Amino acid sequence: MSYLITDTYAPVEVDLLTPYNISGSDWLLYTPTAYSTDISASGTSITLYSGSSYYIEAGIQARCGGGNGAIIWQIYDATNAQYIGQEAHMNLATSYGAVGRVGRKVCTALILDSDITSSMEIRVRRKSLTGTSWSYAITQDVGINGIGYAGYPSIRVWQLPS
Amino acid sequence: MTYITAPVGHQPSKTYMTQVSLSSDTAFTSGNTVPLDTITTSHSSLSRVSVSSNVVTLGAGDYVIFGAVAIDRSVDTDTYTVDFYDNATSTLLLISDGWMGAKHHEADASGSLVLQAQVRLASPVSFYLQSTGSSGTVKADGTYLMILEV
Repeated sequence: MSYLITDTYAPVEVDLLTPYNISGSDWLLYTPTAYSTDISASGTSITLYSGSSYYIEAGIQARCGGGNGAIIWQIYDATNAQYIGQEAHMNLATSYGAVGRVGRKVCTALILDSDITSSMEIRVRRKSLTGTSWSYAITQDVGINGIGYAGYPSIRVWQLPS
Repeated sequence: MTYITAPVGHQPSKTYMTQVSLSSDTAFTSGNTVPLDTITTSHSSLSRVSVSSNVVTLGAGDYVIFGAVAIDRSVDTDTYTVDFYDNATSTLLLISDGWMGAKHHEADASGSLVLQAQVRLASPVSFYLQSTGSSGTVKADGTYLMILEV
């Protein structure tokens, strides 16, 4: 007689959203053609629904034409009008990669199911900026302003079922 | 009679995620333990992760850890490191065992170091983060560990 004991592992569902430009201070998103998670996305908004917790991390691309600039971005909880999680920094004020938070260039937030009443709208928002001539519009296979930066940044949404 | 069971360390029926972070900017002296005082957990009643007095404790199981430590340094004439240390022995947890600390090679005023680990623990482990070469201020807005129980 044999017993096969198996566990059921609830997978972590993940979606990738693509920021491609900015509107005001919020990044515009290309949305996936199909979702793995239960979120929805439109324009600059990502909507999370109760029943799960979510881990979000967001990278962006931006070019400082003025050469000496710094940018901070963070997840913005538009439902409750507050920034949440940890900031990300990109600082080009003296030389590339030489100052200011050079390590992890993604902002993050762990949003608990208990934080979401029925739904929560979040955005990736530019929180502060120094320097001049910033540009954000990415064209596929071209990059920003015709400068061949490789690829697109991404926003990763991990859904952790409760 | 044969029993086939899931591998040791694969107890969770769901994936839990815990964030360990810092509630406010904190003055820091090189060689000290990086302050961590806040825990947020997706499944608080089930998670085997806890934090107390800057020490993170993991129960037996499988973990993926990633995060960053951001320090604005008052002295920037040297490289600095952030590493995982075993709280029981005060010894460095090794890269060969899956604990990947970080070293900043630039003599810059500030920066963040990215840490990561992927470990299978047969028994509980308590660890802390220690930084050398980095007196200044540990920044709350950029210091955290994300811990997945997988």
